[in-house]
Amino acid sequence: MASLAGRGPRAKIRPPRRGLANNDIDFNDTWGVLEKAFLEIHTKNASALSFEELYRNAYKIVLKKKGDELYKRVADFEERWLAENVHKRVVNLLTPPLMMLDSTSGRSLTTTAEKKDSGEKFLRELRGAWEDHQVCMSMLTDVLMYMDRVYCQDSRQPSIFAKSMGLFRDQILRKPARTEMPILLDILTRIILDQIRMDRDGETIQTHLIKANISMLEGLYDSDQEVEDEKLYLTAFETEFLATSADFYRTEGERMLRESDAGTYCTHAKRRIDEEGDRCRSTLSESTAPKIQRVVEDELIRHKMKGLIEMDSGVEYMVDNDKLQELGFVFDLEARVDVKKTELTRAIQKIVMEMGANITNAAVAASATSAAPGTTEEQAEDKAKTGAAKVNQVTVAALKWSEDILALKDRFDNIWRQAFQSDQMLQIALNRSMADTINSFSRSSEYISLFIDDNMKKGIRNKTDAEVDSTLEKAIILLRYLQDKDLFETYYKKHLCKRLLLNKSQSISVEKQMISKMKIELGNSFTLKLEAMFKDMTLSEELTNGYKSYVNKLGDADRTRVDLGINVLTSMTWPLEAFRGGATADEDQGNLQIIFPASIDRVKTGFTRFYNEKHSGRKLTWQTNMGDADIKATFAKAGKDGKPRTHDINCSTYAMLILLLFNDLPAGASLAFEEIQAATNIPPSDLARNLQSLAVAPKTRFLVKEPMSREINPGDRFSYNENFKSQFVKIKVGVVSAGNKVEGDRERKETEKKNNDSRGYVIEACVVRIMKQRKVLAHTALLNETITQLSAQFKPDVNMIKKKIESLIEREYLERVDEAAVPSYRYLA
Amino acid sequence: MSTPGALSAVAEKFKSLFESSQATDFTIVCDTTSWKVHSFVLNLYSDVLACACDGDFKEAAARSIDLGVDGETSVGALVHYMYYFDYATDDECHEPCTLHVNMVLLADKYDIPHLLELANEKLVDLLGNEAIAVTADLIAAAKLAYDAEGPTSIFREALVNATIKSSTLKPEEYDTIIRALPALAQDVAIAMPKSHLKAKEETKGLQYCRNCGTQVPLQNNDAFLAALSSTKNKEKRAIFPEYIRCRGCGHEFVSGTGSNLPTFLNGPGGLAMEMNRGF
Repeated sequence: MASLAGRGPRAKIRPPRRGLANNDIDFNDTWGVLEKAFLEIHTKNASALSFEELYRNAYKIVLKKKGDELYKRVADFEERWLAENVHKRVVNLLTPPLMMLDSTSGRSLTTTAEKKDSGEKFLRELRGAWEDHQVCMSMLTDVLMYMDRVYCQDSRQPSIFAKSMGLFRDQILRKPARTEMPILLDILTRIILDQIRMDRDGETIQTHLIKANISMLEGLYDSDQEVEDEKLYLTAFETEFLATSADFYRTEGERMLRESDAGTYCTHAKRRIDEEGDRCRSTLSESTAPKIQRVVEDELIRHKMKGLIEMDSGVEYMVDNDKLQELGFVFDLEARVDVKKTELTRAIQKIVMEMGANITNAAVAASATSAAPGTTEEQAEDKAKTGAAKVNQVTVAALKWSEDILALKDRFDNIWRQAFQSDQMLQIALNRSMADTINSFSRSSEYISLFIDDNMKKGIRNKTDAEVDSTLEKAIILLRYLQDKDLFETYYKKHLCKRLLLNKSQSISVEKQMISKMKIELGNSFTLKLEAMFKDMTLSEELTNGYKSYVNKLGDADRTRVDLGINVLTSMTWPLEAFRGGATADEDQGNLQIIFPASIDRVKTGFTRFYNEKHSGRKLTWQTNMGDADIKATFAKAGKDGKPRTHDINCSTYAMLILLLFNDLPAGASLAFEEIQAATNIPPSDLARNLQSLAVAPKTRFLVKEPMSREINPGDRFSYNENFKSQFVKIKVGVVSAGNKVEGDRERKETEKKNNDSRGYVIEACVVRIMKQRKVLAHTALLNETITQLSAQFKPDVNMIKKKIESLIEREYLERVDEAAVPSYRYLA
Repeated sequence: MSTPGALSAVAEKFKSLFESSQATDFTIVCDTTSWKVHSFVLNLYSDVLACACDGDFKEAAARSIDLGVDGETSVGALVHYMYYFDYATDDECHEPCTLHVNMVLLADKYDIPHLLELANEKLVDLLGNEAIAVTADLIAAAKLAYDAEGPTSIFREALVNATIKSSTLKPEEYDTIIRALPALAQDVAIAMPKSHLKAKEETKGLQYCRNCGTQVPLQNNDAFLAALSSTKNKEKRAIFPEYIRCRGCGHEFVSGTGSNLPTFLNGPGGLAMEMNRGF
């Protein structure tokens, strides 16, 4: 048991240590002991060896300053061992199938199974050799610990372990397998690559064997300096691996593009990338994962994206067939390699533009085909009907266009959300192409306004608030893309005007909702005039009521007196020309004074007086062409058994005036077209239209026309239709062309011209505003600034801006700066 | 954060585990004696002994190592050190020098740096600052040290200095040791001129200020000492006659030693400490 040195007095002086008693240890004897033991270790017979003895022997040698000699001997020993034993064993397993690898790999005569088998054998042997070497060397290191600590550190030698690892590299891996053959390391690399190729082809391989060999390469360095970046794995294997993989995937990608469809390609590419990542973890080195994935991405995605997208079964096909999942794959793939998703963006934009162009072309075609019969001469007699039908058809085309564009947007929004992960880049691209699509169609402003018009009149009937709201939102979406907002404003005002005056709107509150939405989207100034229109309507209602009570207060409760409902419209805000509809340009309606019968004239003057009392200094212009009237008419034979019957007739003011003429006419008498015209002073075109309703339309034929025909011609005579019959008490006289329809070409030209005129003023105002602030500005800067400032309203034409600048110079608002390097202008205060 | 209590508790536990042989799993054999030890403890101290416990050699299988070659006394001291953090002190030991040198060698052989330090300290303490007293033990220890060379350099250096000192003070002792140890004689011969030069300058009364490097004559200190109070002056002069103030920078120091005056002036305690270190 425990007995401690130095405890208590000792009887005798102990002999000095035996170990160093003999000064002259014999190096060769000692080394002989060690060498024998090392041999035992290498032949796996170490269990009988005494560590103490071996360590002591090595210690003694080093203590006696023979460390370098020992070091050399050990290194020699290892070198010999590796060269004579291990190398031979490993090389013996290089069977013919393996040696075929270097000749064109695909066409060897040996089967894959053979190759795989012998490859595995080789890998196993090499792994064994490596593992043995490591175990032995760690035992040697234990024994030679004193040498490592004292000799190697003092003389700056690599530790014996590191040295022996270098020896393994030089003696095994860097030695030619046999004479005239590549070095073992190259063969190893090739075998591993071959095994990986088999793995990629779906064969099961022994991943742990490869992994073991890879960790060997990772444990070895290119030189004895053991630089971290120069592991054999990196210098000898990885580069080769990446290059081979690049080749492999290049070929595979090309083949896949040829042979399979895009969806399969995407799934495959994704699987390959994941596979390579997994392979790095299970078979190779984790550190290679990002590199090989990048190679696969390069070969399968980056270089193939364009081809993939343009395949027959590419993105276009996917969009056409709503293959959202596959679009998602394509997106994922491209997102891996390109944050901007350039190729996909380009493809999607192209598709959107194409589909948009198709919709536009369809709309143009729809209006064109329907217009064609209207112009052919054979059908001249059907002109009125086909004309109306044509207008209708164009309107339908306009509505269809809007719906289709919205559907297109919905469709791509859906794709964007579900397949493109709501990616911002693609959203921008989609928006841009939608805007391009809408703006490339010159009639989009009108069509969008018509779309709103149609919804206001019919679309929102029987709809919940939420549905109405979504409809309005759609309109706003379209509006958002629209560039020529001023043109849209013109159309919208016109359409709104008709809706309001003719009471066509389903709900005023929805109209107001729409206005407030536009206000949010387009700003205050845009909706100012639109709001004024609503204000006029409210004021007019108050006026009418005020006038009624005013009349009642007068006391003379004349029951035959005509009731008056009136809309007082501010002339600047209301596009009254909208009602001129069919009127020809040379007819100047403003100067025409309609002749009213006494009963009506009394009301008119009465209201004028009332209005002037309220607001002095305002001029009322009576727009009789826009009014309508409710009249009670008694027809002698309208009843069931020929008895007189009274109908409530709703007709235009003009129609009322015409009908009133016949009140005073004796039975059987008739009036010529010209006579009616003279008696009322109604413009001929309006008169003709109204007479058409009254004398031609079957349901409201209050008058008889002579001769009977569809068209109203000068010289036609009209008389009271005593035989009028109708089963309805209330009869509405249709007003021809009162609804909002697509403009004819002539109208359109007019609108455009007007629009261009107003744009001219806006541009001038803008230029002056800019110049007033800047005083002196270069030409291009002025152009840019103007375009930027006006872009919220419309996209100004550069030529127009130039002309306006020219005209401003003429009018001495601006002058050219002569001495300036670039063309510039100065503002003249 | 550490709890000082924990450390001493562990130290206590080490001792009790050793004394009770509880949970021991390894044996160190040396001639007729054996010690039951913990391989875990061997691992703590020495990578070499750890290899014996855990390697693939026969010791690991037998759970025992024969350190007979290192000598029973030394191995006993080593085991004691591993469990008690110290080994036999001078008065418990008949041949302290040999033991310490042996411990230095063991510590080096088995790679136990702290033991190496401890043994060296003990050796240097033993030699002291005075001229050496040559014993059979010292000569045996010196022989051992010169045999091993490398690891014993500190001891050998101290031995050379002590020998040189005794050359004038104790010529007979000097003679004995020089004759007994030819290797030491060589070292002394090499070191002598340097030492001689130093001594010569000191006899000339020249000192170099450790602060600014100015050469300061020894007699200069009289004026400085006169400035001190008479009792203290006497006291200090009695304890340490060579005590200097630099003319250049006013730095005060004790001639020939590493101590500066400010510590010296701290009081008798400080003085004693300085004296102890100045071997």
